[in-house]
This record gives sequence, C-alpha cells and structure tokens, in this order.
Amino acid sequence: MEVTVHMRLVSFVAAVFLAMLVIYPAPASAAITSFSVTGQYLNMGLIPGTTVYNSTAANGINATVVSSGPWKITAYDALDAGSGGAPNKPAGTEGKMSEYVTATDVYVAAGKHLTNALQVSGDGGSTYKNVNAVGTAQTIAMGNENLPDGTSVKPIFKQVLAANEEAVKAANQYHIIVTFEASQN
Amino acid sequence: MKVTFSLHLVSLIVAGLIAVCILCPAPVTASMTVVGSKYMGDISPGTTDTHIMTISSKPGDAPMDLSIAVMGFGETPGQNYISLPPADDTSPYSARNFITLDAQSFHLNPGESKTVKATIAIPKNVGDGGRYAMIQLKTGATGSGSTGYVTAISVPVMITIAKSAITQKGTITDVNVGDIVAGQPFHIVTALQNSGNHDYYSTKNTVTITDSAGNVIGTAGTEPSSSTIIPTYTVNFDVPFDKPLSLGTYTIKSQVSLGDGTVLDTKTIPFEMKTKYIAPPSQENITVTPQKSAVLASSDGRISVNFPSGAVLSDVAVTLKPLSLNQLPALPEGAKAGGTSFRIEGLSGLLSKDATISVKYSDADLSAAGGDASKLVLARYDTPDNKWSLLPTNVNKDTTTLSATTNRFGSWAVMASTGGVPAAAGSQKTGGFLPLNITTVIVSLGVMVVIIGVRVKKN
Repeated sequence: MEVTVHMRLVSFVAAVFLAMLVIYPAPASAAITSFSVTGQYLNMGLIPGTTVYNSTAANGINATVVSSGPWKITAYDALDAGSGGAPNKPAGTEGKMSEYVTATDVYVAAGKHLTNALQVSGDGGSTYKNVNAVGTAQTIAMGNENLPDGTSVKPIFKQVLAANEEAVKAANQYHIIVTFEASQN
Repeated sequence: MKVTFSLHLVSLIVAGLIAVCILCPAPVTASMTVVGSKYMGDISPGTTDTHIMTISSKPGDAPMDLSIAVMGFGETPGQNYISLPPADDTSPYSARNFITLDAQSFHLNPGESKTVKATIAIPKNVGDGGRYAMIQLKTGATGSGSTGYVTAISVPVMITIAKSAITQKGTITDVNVGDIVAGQPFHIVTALQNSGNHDYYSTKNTVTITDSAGNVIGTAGTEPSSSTIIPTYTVNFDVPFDKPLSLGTYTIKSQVSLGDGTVLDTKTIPFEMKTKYIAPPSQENITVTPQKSAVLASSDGRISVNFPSGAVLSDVAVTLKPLSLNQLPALPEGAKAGGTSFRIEGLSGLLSKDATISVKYSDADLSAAGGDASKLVLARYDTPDNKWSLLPTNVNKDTTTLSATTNRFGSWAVMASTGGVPAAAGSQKTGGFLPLNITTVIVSLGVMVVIIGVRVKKN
C-alpha cells in the first residue's frame, strides 16, 4: 500500500492543531487568579446616632478578579494593624472599628470600640453584610470563569453609629483593616 | 489648518491639569496574579508532589511586600473557604503539616514575577480519603484613613490519598423555616455536615412541601454548588419558597444529593402555617404600544400598572418580577420596608405620559407603619440617581390600596415613612440632566477651560 501525503493537507492539519491549542483553555493545574485592588477609602466623619456611608461605588476601592474557574471574594477582620504591622487588634472586636494610635500604627489594648460592626456591600449597596471574624467570613461577590477581562467589584462600607458612642483621644481614631480575599472554588 | 496656542493658554491648561491631579490623586493599586491558584491531585502515601505558584504584578502597579503561609482549610456555613490559623486548624483531614514552602515573604516590584514552590509530602500512614490546606498570599495594609484593607489570594490545596478508601457521606443536621412575611418568599435552610472522608462538589438541595392530605404543594431547590464541601464541616443550603400556602399543617422534605444524583441524606419535618401567607407576585409580561392603553397586573391582582395610550413612542415589552426585600438597595433614612417589593423592567427611559401604579398593601406593610396606613407610601428606586423616591401616594383604606403616578420604573417597595413625602419627589419629569458630582464638575470645568482658552488661528 502506498501512502501519499500532500503538503497542503499537512499544513491544514497543523493549522487545525494550532487553532485547538489556542481555543482550548489551560488545564486545571494552571489555574489563574488575578486580584487587583485600586484606590483607598476616605476618612469617616463619625457623628453619634447616624449612619455613615463612607464610600460609594465611585468613591472607594475597585477590585477586579480575573479567574480561570468559579471564584469568590470574602471580607473579614483578621485583627490586622495598619502598614503591615503585626495583628494586635483586641480579640472580641472583630468587625468593629476600634481605638487606634495613628502615630504608631497599633491598637489601644482594652481601648474603645464602636457598638456596631462595619458593614460591607459588594453589589453596589443593594445588600450589606457585617464584617466578621475570619471564621465567619462573608462572601461579597462571586462569579464564574471570566478570562480575559475579569469582573469588577466595588465594595462599599457602611457604619451605623449608636447614640452613645464615645469619642477617642485627639491623637487616636477609630480604625479597622478589612481583608478582601479572593479564591477559586 | 494650523493651530497655535498662546502662552496664557498653555499656563491655563497646565494649571487645570495640576488642579485635576490634586483633586484626583493617583490610585493606589494592590494587584497580584497567581498562576497555580488551586491544587487538586492524587498523591500516594509516602510520596511527594510539588505545586508551583507564580506570583506577578503588572508594570503600572505599586511595589508590594507579600507574605505567604500554609493555613488550615476551613469552610463557613455560607460555603465560603477560609484560611484558618494553625491554632484553629483541628481537622483530622488537615494537610497543613504536610506542606512546606520555599519562601515565606518577598518583595514584588512592578512588572516582576516570583515563583514559590510548595512541597507536599504525604506520610506513609496518612489514612484514607482527602486532605486539605490553604496557601494564603497577602499584602500589607493599604490606606491611611480610618478604614484600610488587605488584599489576599488563597490557594486551595485538595489532596486525594491515592488508592485509599473514599467515602462521600453527608448528614442533614437541621432543617429550619425562616420568618413568614406576606409578599416575600420564605426560606427553608438545610444544614448538611460532610460526614465522609472526602470533599464533594455540585451538591444540591431539593425541598418538597406536601399538605396534610399528602398532596404536593410545590418543589424548589438550589443550583448545584460551585464550592466543594470538605469533611467535618457543616454548610447551609437556602431554598426560597414562593408558592401560596393557606393556614394548616404541612410536611417539608429536604434532600441533599450529589451532582450524579446520589442522595447524601433526606430529612422530613412538620410545619404549621399559622399566619395568612401571601406569595410574592408572579412574573407577568405585556407589550405596551403607543396607540392603546394597557394594564400590567400580577395574577393575584395585588399589583397593577395602567399605561395610558401615548405613554410610549414605540412598542415596549414590560415585565413585572418578584423582588426580595434583601435585594432592595439601602432604604432611605426614616423609611421602613413592609413586605411588598417588586421590579418592573423593560422601560429604560421616561414615559411620555404618566402611568398609574396601584398596590394592595399587606398586613406586613401595615405592620411596618405601626397599623397606620396613612404612613404608607409607594417608593421607587431610581438607578440613574442611585436613590429612592417616595412618591406622593393616595391611600384608600377601604380597598387597602396605594396608588401613585410615575413616569419611570425599576425597583419598587411599599414603605412606611416617618419623615413624610418630599414635595419635590414623585413623578415629576426630571429630564436628562446628569446628577451633579465631582466628576461632572471637573469635566465641565475642563470643557470651559478649553472653550474659553483656546485661540485657534486658521491660516
């Protein structure tokens, strides 16, 4: 039996093979997650007995998730201090803004904290969830594979103040660091 | 055409640009991309595997310091994965102690990539099933104000012990019925514990309600879960139910199964409907035409919208949809939602002639107003302005009906208002002006600078 191979056929097969390589997604072992966050929140002006909307979709951070599989963003309070400092927010204040020494980036041990937990919305303010401890982290956004452009999420904070909130010393402020964590499902 | 600019003009433009730069500071970006953001693999006892993670930042990003650590793999009742600190990682299925990293922290410059290798060494006597851990990469805190944030990516590590006995079992530990609110779906929450030794994806919950005579009233369920459920953890499935139920005794059967149909567990509980329950409105569609008047109404007649002839300029398909209270945007100060909420979609702009919307208020609505129906108003959420409008509302206590005129649609709710209805709200036509915000002001100033300052000399 004689087999003749035409160069045009070889070229065609090679082109199809290359096209399949381009079309087919990367294997699961090359799972990709990109998480970029732009911007920062403004200082809150806290007035007892009011609801403070610290940010809006246009005035706050913008988080973008690019993922090769289903993903979620959770938000929680890991009791972190600012500027990458070691976690030293007092236990029991999870989710609540607590008294903080701005000059040294540390929380005041047994300092004051607000009555209500900070709330966060990942859907433009339609629903708010309390910022909790890591063990009860809340999902603020979720989605499916979204290569290559990703999905934009603009977390909005809300702080409800009780009428009897106490002022902190002039050099201190109420403070919280919220962790936004992205992961594939 | 030749265009020339005067020195004054250049100075003006430069000053404008500087002002804009001050008003709009450069964004702070914490950005990382992880290739290898999930590990799933079979590993034999006594052997080792490696997992490579490549962490990179984009050229325009800020430099950052990253820490990387092996954590426990936890799961919340809401089916969220969490990175547990070692002290909290007490699961017998933890793989945290099997994993070592070749870096614990590093600095990442803009556009730079770093590779981190995780070595997974499985002990010989590891046992059967799956083993789980999280590798967490996190930045330092960003922001100097009262609220800062940390950005993190967690890499789930899900190991199957090769050639071991895998058991996929689940136990329903609780079935609960949430609050019954007229006009809203009620929620049946089923708690399932993974009582096997391996995780499972694509679980789904199906709930069936039967009456005392054994007739099936309705069945509802969840979509297959996109998260996995790991051994020992308990997660909740929330099934909203929106079929009408009269007073009486019912049976709720909740079943959780795997994606292939294998039933993990079934639990049946009795349920008594003690209060009158009104189901949310059903979805209804009509086409509104310019020539004729039209009525969009829910099947139970509680909600109706009357479009006069000439309300639209061309044919428009309009839809009435149920909307849960928990999907409503944040309510305005001094307002309290009752139990009636819905959406009307299909009209993106303003009507040429006002429509009349009528809603029968429920006991839940009346309760929100403390029993005083005169405090009830129809509220419309105007998405372009991101705010609620409390419309001037006629209250007919004889027919328990609220009515108002409107020239736009979107999300609606019956609210109890303690602050009264603003005179300027309602269905006044607001035209197409943009809301005044800082962006509008800056853009307008920029346009003015260009218009006033540019001197074009045509040759």
